[in-house]
Amino acid sequence: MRLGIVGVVIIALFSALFIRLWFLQVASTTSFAAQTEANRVRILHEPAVRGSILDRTGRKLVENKLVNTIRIRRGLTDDERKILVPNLAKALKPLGVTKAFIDKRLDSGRYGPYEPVPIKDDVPYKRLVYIKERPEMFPKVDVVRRSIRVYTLFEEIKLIYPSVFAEATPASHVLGYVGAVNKDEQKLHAGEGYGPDDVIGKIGAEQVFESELRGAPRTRKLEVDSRGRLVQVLRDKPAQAGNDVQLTIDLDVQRVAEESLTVGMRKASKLKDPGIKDRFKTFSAKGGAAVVMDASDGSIVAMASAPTFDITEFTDGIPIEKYTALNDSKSNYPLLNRAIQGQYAPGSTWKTFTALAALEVGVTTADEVYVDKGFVEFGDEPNVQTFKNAGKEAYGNVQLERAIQVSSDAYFFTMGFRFWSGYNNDNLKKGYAIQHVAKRYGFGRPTGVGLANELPGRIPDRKFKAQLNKNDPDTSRRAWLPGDSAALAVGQGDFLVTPLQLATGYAAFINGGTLYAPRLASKVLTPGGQSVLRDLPSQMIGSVEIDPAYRTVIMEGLKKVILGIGTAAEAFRGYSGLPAAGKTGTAEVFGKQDTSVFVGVLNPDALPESIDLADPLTHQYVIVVFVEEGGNGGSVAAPIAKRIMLALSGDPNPPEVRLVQPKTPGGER
Amino acid sequence: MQRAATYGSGSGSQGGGRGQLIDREFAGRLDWILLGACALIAVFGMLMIYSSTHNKDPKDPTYYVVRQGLAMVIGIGLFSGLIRIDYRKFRDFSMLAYILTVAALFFVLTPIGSESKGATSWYELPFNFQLQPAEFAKFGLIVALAGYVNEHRGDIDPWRLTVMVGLALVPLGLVQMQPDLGTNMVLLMIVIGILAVGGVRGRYLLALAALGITMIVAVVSVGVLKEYQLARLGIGASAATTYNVEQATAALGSGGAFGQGYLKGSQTRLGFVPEQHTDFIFTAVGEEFGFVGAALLLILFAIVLWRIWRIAQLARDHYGTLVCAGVLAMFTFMIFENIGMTLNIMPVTGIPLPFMSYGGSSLITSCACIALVSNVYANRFN
Repeated sequence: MRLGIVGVVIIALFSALFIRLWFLQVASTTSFAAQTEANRVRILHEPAVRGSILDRTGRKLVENKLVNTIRIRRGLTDDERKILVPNLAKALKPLGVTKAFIDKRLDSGRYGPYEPVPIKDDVPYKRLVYIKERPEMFPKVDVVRRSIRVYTLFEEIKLIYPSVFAEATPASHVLGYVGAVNKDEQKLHAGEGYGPDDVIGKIGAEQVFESELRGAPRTRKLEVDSRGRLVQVLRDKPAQAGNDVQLTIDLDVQRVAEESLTVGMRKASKLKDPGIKDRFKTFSAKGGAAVVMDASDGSIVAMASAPTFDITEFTDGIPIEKYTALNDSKSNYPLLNRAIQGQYAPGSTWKTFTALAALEVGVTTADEVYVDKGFVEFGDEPNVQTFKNAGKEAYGNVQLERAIQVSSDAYFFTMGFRFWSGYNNDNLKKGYAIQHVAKRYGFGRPTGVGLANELPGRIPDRKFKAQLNKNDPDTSRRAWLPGDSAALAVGQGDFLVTPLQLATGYAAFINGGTLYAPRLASKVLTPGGQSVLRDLPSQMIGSVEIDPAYRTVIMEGLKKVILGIGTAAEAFRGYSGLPAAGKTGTAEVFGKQDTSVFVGVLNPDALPESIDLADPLTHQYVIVVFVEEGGNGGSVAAPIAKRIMLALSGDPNPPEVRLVQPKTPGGER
Repeated sequence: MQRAATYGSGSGSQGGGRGQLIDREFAGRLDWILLGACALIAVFGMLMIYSSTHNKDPKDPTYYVVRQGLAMVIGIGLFSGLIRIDYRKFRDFSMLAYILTVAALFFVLTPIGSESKGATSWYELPFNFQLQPAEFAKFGLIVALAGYVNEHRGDIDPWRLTVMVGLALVPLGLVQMQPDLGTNMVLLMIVIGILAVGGVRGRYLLALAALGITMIVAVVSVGVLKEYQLARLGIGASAATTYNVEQATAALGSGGAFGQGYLKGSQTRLGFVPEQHTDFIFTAVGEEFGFVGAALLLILFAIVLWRIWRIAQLARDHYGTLVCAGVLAMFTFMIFENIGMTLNIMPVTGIPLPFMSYGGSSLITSCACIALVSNVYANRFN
């Protein structure tokens, strides 16, 4: 009968329902719980008061201030918006707020659908009262207190040293700044509760110590219904203020370093370049860096990069045009931290390490007398190549110590050829002696300071050269030639270092062989800075064995660089600071003026037991100065370094930088 | 049978039954399994309606449940009334039932009816009550069509079939003008159910099915249907429909095997499933009572259908069978389509779940239909 068929159909339909229900509810692996959770739970964050940043003597470089911020709540109707936007723009006009700006903020996808949109920080009290008294003119406007970065000390410094700090703040690159979290950062810090209204450290210490400084935001977990109405507060975790961070930077030294660098560069731009026929041509000296490192533990005492910028511009969100200008070639990229992102040929400052390599593999001895004729010839007839000294000067009989003092290129070219001979005879230990030393002293890789975007530098070798010229039809260019070894021996060719790397390498040489990762901060303090939460000890990343005899002979040479006929003697005339040594460098750059380089050393002979941790005057320091297109090391970089060394010796206001007019055209010095 | 013999036209004044809703002698002739299952489902429905609506207006959390309870009282009253009239009396009034149905459907389209959500399908009554004539049309169509088919038993030729289809098309057309596609599909299933059981020859049924499909295609392609209706039928997909189904699936899925507990399902409690107290009531069951609860509900529905099917067999006459077949087709389709759409195996249409969904007209109609079937059962020996 027909009813039977109907019964079968019904059974089939119900079976289908049962099976589907089983698969959906019991056998399913989809996380429906997560889906429903996402429906009903909203998590809101309010940032905590950010920690302060202190210098090594405890001075507060970066603090916070609670300011009144104007925000617009969500749920503005079209009518309300028509009233609010013009009124608010009018009321905040003196603070630079326009209608277009408010509209852009309101429509920006950066702010969540439940989060109020911040319009302006630090609104003066009188304006707030005006706005708060007129809710009909300013619907859905909120005033909240939030904390922003302030730089009280820098305001003073600006007043005292206007010539350098009128439009810049000290330590801008080191401290960094905070800014609104962007999408990438939110992704990177997923699960840490960053909302679109939150700030995050962008560069410098603000970025490196973000997790300490930030504290824990107030976190509220809300349950909402389908219409977005609050049903209940599931959790309310109070905010926890961020910890303070004490840097190893010394504000006085940092300030002096920046003054010296900036003033030195300014003066260099008026200095005549004798390397160019045009007698009115001066050095352009548009960029530079200075690093001061405590060789005893790798602490960075100062780190300067020029041109620099003003971090106070960032406290309330920097206008886009200004930000663009900071990343522009016209202003020579002020945001770039040249101490870690500038890669330069070290020039003759590298001779210290070439000398070490030469002594270690035995291509020379401290006693070998070399006759410097002002040039070296290499190769057999008819392929003789001639390498000349800077200024074609001939120094006559020189030993290693004197070769360093006068920066004899002939001597070190010869060392380069000797290394190359080893390479040619398959004695790779000898052939790659320089590369080997470079690697042991931390070159060719980031130092591990922790700052973002640090560059690794470059140690050229056979493989590198083959790769560099792999598309060159002339296969001979892919080979490692005697000239390559010679150029490397004087810190030229394809060799690149960052100022911080050079400081790190020298520090290891000076302190007797301990390679430290440069340290930016020494302590994490409790919020408010009352007590030490945790020490941040220096990180030893390597240990290099140095024969004390080798160290002594090289150090003697370095000490004489600033004396007598030394390349920096003129610059250091009248120097009255702590015992010092140094090495000049003048690096040729294709198509540009020479890079002026100087590496200074303080307390070169201090014994480990004589170093008193509490007394900074007993520490050993390395001072590295680079000036792009600044000419001779002895004429520009050395006087800058000298002034920084005086500051380190205890004089917070040393006499002004006095440059030395170079007489001879540039070269390997 | 003796008891059967004493029962006349059921005026409610029999023996000791005076003053009582249903007297003892009469009670013995009712299918208590069927009625019990229906009652359980209805009570279950009230619980779920409370669960899914008590947060809508915090000041009046029982608003929907009270109204549904009121409809249930009316439904029970209607049931007690209808059960006392021998169903064969309805047979004689088939024509009247048909005319009343058509009239009600016609006048709702006039300014007497009210519009809501783009459909003119209500009569607005005092105290914020609404009457949905399309729901009652289901009952009317069953009574009328069963009567007509019964009358022409054994001689349904193509002409008669054409007349029948023509008669059915009038209310269908009126419902389409509201428009209410869901109800129309139910009405169509009633027609097919009654014709199928009524002995219409197989090939006529096939021809009819072909005609039906052609009509649906024509309606769709001519653009009589609005976009949201097409989406509901699975032709294209509107964002709202997709959202509905997603939320429904999430609610069911998060219920798991044993559910989150009564009043604890977040989708239900916080109102994330649109139309949950009406068309998507099954998702509330699934979320709060899990597979166990949902399966139990399905079993209750299966019992109801089994009893109706059985009564169709037990019916004393052909008319009784046809009435039961109509009710059976109606409930089967409504249950399968409604639960099927929440499970995302059927397109989304506005068809309520019998006895569960919030809605007085639907509940009262369901009661009336069960009264019809019970009536057939009670009089199976007469």
